[in-house]
Amino acid sequence: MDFISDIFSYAFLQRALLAALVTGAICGIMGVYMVVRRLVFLAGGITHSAFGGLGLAYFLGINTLWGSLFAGLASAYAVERMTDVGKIREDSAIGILWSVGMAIGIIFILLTPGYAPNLMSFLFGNILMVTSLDVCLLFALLVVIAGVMIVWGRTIIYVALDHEFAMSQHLPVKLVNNLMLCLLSLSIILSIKIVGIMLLLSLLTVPASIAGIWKSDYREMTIIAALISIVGLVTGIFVSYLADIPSSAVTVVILVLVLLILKLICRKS
Amino acid sequence: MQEVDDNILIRLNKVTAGYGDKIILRDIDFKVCKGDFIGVIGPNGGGKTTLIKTILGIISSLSGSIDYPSGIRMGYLPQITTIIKDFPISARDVVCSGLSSGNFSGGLMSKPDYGRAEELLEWLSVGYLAKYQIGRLSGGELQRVLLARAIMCDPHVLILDEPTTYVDNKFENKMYEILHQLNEKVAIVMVSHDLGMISRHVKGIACVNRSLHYHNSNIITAHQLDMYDCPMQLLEHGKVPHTVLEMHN
Ligand SMILES: Nc1ncnc2c1ncn2[C@@H]1O[C@H](COP(=O)(O)OP(=O)(O)OP(=O)(O)O)[C@@H](O)[C@H]1O
Ligand SMILES: [Mg+2]
Repeated sequence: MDFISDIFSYAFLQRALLAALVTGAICGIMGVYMVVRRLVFLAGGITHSAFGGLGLAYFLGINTLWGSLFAGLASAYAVERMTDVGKIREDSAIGILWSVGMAIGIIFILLTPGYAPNLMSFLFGNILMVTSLDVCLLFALLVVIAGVMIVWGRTIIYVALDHEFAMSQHLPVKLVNNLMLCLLSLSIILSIKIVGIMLLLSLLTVPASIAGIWKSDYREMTIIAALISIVGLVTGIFVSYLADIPSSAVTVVILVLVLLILKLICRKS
Repeated sequence: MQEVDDNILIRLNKVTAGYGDKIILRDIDFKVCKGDFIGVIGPNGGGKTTLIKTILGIISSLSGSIDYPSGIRMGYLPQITTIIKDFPISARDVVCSGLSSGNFSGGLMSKPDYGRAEELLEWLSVGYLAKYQIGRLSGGELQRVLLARAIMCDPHVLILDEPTTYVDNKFENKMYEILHQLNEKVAIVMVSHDLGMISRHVKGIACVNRSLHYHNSNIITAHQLDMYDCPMQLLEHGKVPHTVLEMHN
């Protein structure tokens, strides 16, 4: 098949597949955490706030990764401050940052002289355009996440399961929550390049939901979700390579279809 | 009368507790010693749960100090659990989470002590629940699993906040039996509204209503309750326990 032989001849395809592998694993692990902690809306807020920093960086002509990195982490922190100190409801705080991020992002992108051809790739990502730096950063993040899960996984699960009981057992609840929020933010920001702002949430939620159909064990769910994300992303690359449509859109549609079909099957049986 | 003995497991010195700037309990002195079985009583909103959460470090005290020997293990059964019900975890894994303050490795690769967890569940007559997902348990079943979680770490002090709320009469009696058995080695602090049961089982009574009065006996008169500003009338019905039936399911 052309696709297979092209993999060996084109470096960008190799990078894309590598990125799919690593991003899939990251999104599987952090997606399950996000879903069981009910942080989906917060994750959406971080994603869209990151767009503000991304737009600003684009306007200033620096690597957009640094802009979104800063804005994403800052927004996660801001949500916490707004609820703790500002006494704003958490979902309201997230909603505010969500739209402010988008507003700032679009203003700066449109203020940037010349046509803005990259808007589509910000919104929907482009896995075929990942750089070696992107892949290296993603890989480094995966190593950190996997390391944290292996060394502290049980603590993290118990803190997520019941925070008051965890406090009564003197587990470092605040530390664990902040650490995981940081890792989630980093995962989101580094994945923006791959699937884009609009479609990132489904890459985090759908594989975890699919895994949840069979498994009621956190660790098994994580492994299955990671595998599903990887398969989804690779399939996306394959189809988009053949048909020249955004791979992230293909990935999302495929994953959601799988979820739908499995739900229907499981309902009948 | 500062006692210097290592019989004391937990000591509260002039502790003030509350939420933010809302003070619920002021200047509490209280201690739990080895072998104690303390019943905590008081009206709704009196601050019993607040006291317990402060002792456990779930809310931090606003002033005063709480001392306990380092390495002390405390088991805790909450009045209202904050456990996430649809979490992908089995009952026996929940029981194992009770180990987190004891000898416990936080890593994913270590195998939890399922043997002991299943033994405990069996002891509480819910062994068959071991592999159930935690959200699929009934209120009383969950309560028993959470009791097993509290005992899992082999605690020095077992702190129970209205443990009989969700369970049926039969298990309620069994639970008191179990607590008696545990009390041979474990100090117990138990919140309850059931004065009849309390006086039958405990060794001392703490009356909590925005302040704390410790009564070093399991028999308390209406007059004393009044003095302690702890309006409860159950004992006036005489020795026969006036059991309050909780309706569930
Ligand atoms: N999270 C909170 N924030 C603010 N106030 C609280 C909070 N939790 C409890 N309170 C207040 O603290 C007071 C004592 O509550 P607590 O739960 O300690 O009572 P309790 O003695 O356990 O009552 P019950 O018998 O109903 O369980 C109540 O007036 C309550 O309104
Ligand atoms: Mg209470």
